[in-house]
Formats: sequence, C-alpha cells, structure tokens
Amino acid sequence: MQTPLLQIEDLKTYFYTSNGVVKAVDGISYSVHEGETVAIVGESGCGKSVSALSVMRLVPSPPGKTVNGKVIYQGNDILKASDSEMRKIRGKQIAMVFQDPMTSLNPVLTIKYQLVEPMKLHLNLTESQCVDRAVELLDLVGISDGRKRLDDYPHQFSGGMRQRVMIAMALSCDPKLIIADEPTTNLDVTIQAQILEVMEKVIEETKTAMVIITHNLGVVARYADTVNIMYAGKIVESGTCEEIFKNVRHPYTEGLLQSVPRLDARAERLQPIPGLPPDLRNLPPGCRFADRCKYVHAKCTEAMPELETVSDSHVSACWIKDTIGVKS
Amino acid sequence: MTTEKTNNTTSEFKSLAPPSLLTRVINSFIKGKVSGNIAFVVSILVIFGFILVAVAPQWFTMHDPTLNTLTDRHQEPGYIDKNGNSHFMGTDHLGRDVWSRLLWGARASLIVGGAGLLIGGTVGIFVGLLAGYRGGWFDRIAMRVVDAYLSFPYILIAIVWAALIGTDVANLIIIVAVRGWVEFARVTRGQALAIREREYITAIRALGGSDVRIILRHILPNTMAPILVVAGFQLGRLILLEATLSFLTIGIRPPTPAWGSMLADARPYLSKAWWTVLYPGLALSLIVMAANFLGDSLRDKMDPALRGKE
Repeated sequence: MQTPLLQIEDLKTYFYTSNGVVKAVDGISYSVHEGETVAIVGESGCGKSVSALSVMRLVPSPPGKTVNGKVIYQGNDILKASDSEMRKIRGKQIAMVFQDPMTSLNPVLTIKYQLVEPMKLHLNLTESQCVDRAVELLDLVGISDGRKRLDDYPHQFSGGMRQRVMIAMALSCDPKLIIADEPTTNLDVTIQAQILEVMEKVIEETKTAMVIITHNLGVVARYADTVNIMYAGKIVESGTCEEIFKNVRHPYTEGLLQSVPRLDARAERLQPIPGLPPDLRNLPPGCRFADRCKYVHAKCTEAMPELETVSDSHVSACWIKDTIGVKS
Repeated sequence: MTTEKTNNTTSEFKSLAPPSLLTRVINSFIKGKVSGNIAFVVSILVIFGFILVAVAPQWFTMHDPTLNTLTDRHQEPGYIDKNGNSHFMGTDHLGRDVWSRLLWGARASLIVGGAGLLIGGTVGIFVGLLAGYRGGWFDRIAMRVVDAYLSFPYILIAIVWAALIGTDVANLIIIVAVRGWVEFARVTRGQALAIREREYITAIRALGGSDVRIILRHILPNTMAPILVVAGFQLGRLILLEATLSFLTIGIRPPTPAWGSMLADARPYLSKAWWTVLYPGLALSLIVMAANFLGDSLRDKMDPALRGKE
C-alpha cells in the first residue's frame, strides 16, 4: 500500500473553558490516500468539525488547542509547520468547503473577487488568466453563465449556487485534498443531491482526495470509500464503506443505521438512539457510549475499549464487537 | 402601428423603473412627509454648499474679510457703505463685513474639521481593526485609552496642549484629530470583533489568506457602513471643537476669520449688534446639524432592517 496523502495520528484537540476542559477531539487516527474519499460520520457535537479544523490548524485559539498528535501531509507534520508554510498549504494543498454557504461568502465582495483571490495567493497567473480560470471553474461546478455572474454579489445567488461557488473556490488552486465540512447540511434535499453530484464529478475529474464530514449516512454509502464513525471525540468504528454497512460491529453504528429510513428494508419503525452524548468535559472512565448502549454490561463502564481489528479493512472499539450485528 | 406598440412598451417599462431621487424628494414634499431621504439630500446639499464656499469664498463676496473700516463699525444688516457696496449681514466692531468673514470662516472650520476627521478616522479605524481582530493586550490597552478619553473633558487637554504647542492650523488639526479617532476606534473594534467570527473569515483563512489580507480586504469593507455613520457625527463634533477652541482664543488666530473667534469678538456687543453673533452661530448650527443628519440618514440607509421603511 502506498504512503497515504494525509495521515492523522492520535490527534487531540481540547478547548480550555472556564467550566473545564472540553475534549472535543480525543485521540483520533485515520489516513487518506490519494484520490480516496473518506467519510467522518457522527452526530452533532462529537468533534467531527473540530477534527477537520485541527487538520487545517484553524481551531480558534484560545480557547482551543491541539495538544497532541501528528498530522502528516506528504511526509511532513503540518502541526509543526510555521504560519507562512501553513498558508501555502491552505488552499493550495488542502482546501475546505464549509457547512453554511449562506455565511461562508463575504457579502460585500463580488464572486469574481472571492474566486480569484485564492488564485492570486497561490498561482502565478495574470488577472485575465485568473478570470478565465474562474469561468472554467464555475462551468465545472455547473454554473454555465459564469462570465455574466462574476460581477454578482453573494446575495444574488441561491444557497445551492453559493455552495457551488464555494466548491469552485476550493478547487481553484488544484488542491490534493478537499475537506468538506457538512457541505450539504444546510441545503434542501434536491439541492443536496445536485451538490453531491457536482462534488463527485469534480473529484473524479481532478483526482482529488476528499474528507467528507457528514451525519448523512446516505451520502456516506454512496460516495465514501472509507468510513470513520466518531462518537464523543473518538473514532469508534472504521472501515471500508462496504464493511461498515454490511458488517456492523459497533452498537453506535448499528444505532445510526437503524435510525434512518431505508428503501431496501421492510418499513419498520425507526429506532432512535436513546439519550444524549456524554458531556465532553466530564467523560466516563469506561466506554463513552455505555449510557446509551442496549448491549451494555459491567465491563463497559469500567474500561474503555480500544480499536481492534475485525478484518483487514475494519476496526471497532467495542468489548463485544464479535457478537454485535453479525446478522442484523 | 408598430411604433405605437413600441412606445407603449417603453412607457410601461418607464413606470416600472424606480422613481428618481428628485421625484421622490418632490413627492415627499407634496405628501408633506419629511422622509429619511429628504434629510439625506438636504444635509448633503448643505455640506456641499459649505465645501464650495470654503474652496472659493471670493466667488460669493467682493469684500475683503480682514479689511477694517473703523468708520463703519457695527452697521446693521443691509447697510450700504459710501462706495455703494452692500453689507447685507452688516459689519462687526471693526467695520469688517460679516458675510465675507462668514464665508472665509467656513474655510477654517472645514479644513480643521475635515482634515481632523480624515486623520482621526484613519488612525481610529486602524486601531479599531487591530484591537478587534487581534484582541489580547493591544485590545485591552486601546479600549482603556478610549474609555479614559470618553470619561474626561477633552477640552481641558486641548487647552493645555494648545497653550504648549501653539495654534497654527496644522497644530489645530492634530488637536482635533487626537479627539476624533476615539469613536472610530470603538465602533470599528466592535465591528471587527463580530466579523472575525464569521464563517467567511475562516473560509478565507482556509484558502491561505494572511492576517493583513483578512483585515484589509475582508473585515474593513464590512465595517464601512457604521464607519460612514460615525464619520457624519464626528464631522459635526470636530467642527464644533474647532469653533470652541477659536472661541476660547486658542484656535484659529486673528485676523484669519473663524466662526468661533467671530462669536468671541461679538460677545461683548451682543445687546448692541445682534447680527455679529447670530450669523456665525447660525452657520455653525447649520453645518453641525447637516453633518448629524447626514450621519443619521446614512445609518438608516446602511441598515438593511431600516432600509425601505420611511
């Protein structure tokens, strides 16, 4: 197996608040290979976004701080890079697409300015070359009359169009990796499908790797190669998409799958996972999912299970992983 | 037939087009409502009028504002001297023409107020952006200085300072600018503080933008609306400060005319020659009011929540 493009090892990002230390990301590891699409799945507040921001070193500090771990991008630990080295990586090597297209474009600047800006920062292009490229990019993401729309302001675009612009901005300097932080969460369902289609098309065409952060399992099933399930700051199950969906080995993943409607299964009642995620300031000593787990037993509340191999391409952190979901 | 049709279409289009500013002003006059637009237009006109007068006062009068004619002291408005020249605002205690002094006085007010506004505004915006964006010790120190300014009568500092460094126009501008930056800094800082948390700032950082770029290209344009509003109010305030200093005889020095010193000169003769006090006072009130109205109506125009409500 070739060396991964991005390798994250034991990343820990904590927030130091007056009410205690919030362990938002508490020791996660995963890797992304070139051209691969990796999904990070979990419910709200489990540290998905913070893990992405940590990779880009964009966690607001204070109060946030990445206290441990390595983020190895093409052989270098970017957590140790200087600020100016980091600026050369952001946008040029790793780009990001944000959650809310309504707020992630500057309202007082034209689309042209905002699209051309990363190119001016990272590429040696003249103004007119930049503009031509901007039009090409808009075309790529499905805005066909790009040249006419360049002088428009963000408020003249709909949510889906703005997210297309965001994707065009992320693509503008040919990054090797795109981190998409819930790119479709704030869009309505038909637009979600369009945006995902666009993203699938562009990463196919540009051979870009992608980390997609989502809580939408439908997105995962369709687009991801590898899936990491996060719960309370930790990865609880990780494997290829097929393994995760066909061979669930963690009760949390099982709960997630049972709480979304499926077309291929008989229409049963959806089963939500009872309870709430634990307080990240005050985590239990045992398994963090123990409170909500229907298979909980004594050992679960005493010691935390580590990720252990289920198969070559599948790990799970559960004491009874071998008995779960074997036939679900 | 065809031409008629075309004409019809154009006229329909015309009726759809938004009415021009002039039409709206006239309409609101007819309806008897003083709208925000009226305040805006009138205040802009007044300010531009004063600027024109300050640039070329000689176009509006043929009198020399510093020429003493001691035989014509305290002549009433409308007085025509023996050369046949009309002094329609009368003359002051040295027989100088009040109207022409008023015109030349606008120059002093606007130069000191305007330059003070520009310098103070630039410094204040810079300090505010840095304090709001960076936070930390710079923010704390800058904001305590601002608090100190606002809790202490600046006129005292200005008097001492003017006494120490003297009062030519350049010094006056500095004195006025040193008062003027405060509100700019405070407002800009608040804006920068709010805007730096917006997602589009994280987005540009994620694209590799540096702090300088983020501040100048992304935060500054977003603070412009409230800054313009502050600028309107500050212009009035700084002109008033200059007039106060001139009134206290530590501002513009005689014989150069200034409204403040005209008021000071005229004060002893208030009961005898009301016109020497009234006209500079009116001019001062007019420009300060215009500046304040401009600030106020700019706020209404800039605020999306108030926009369109009359």
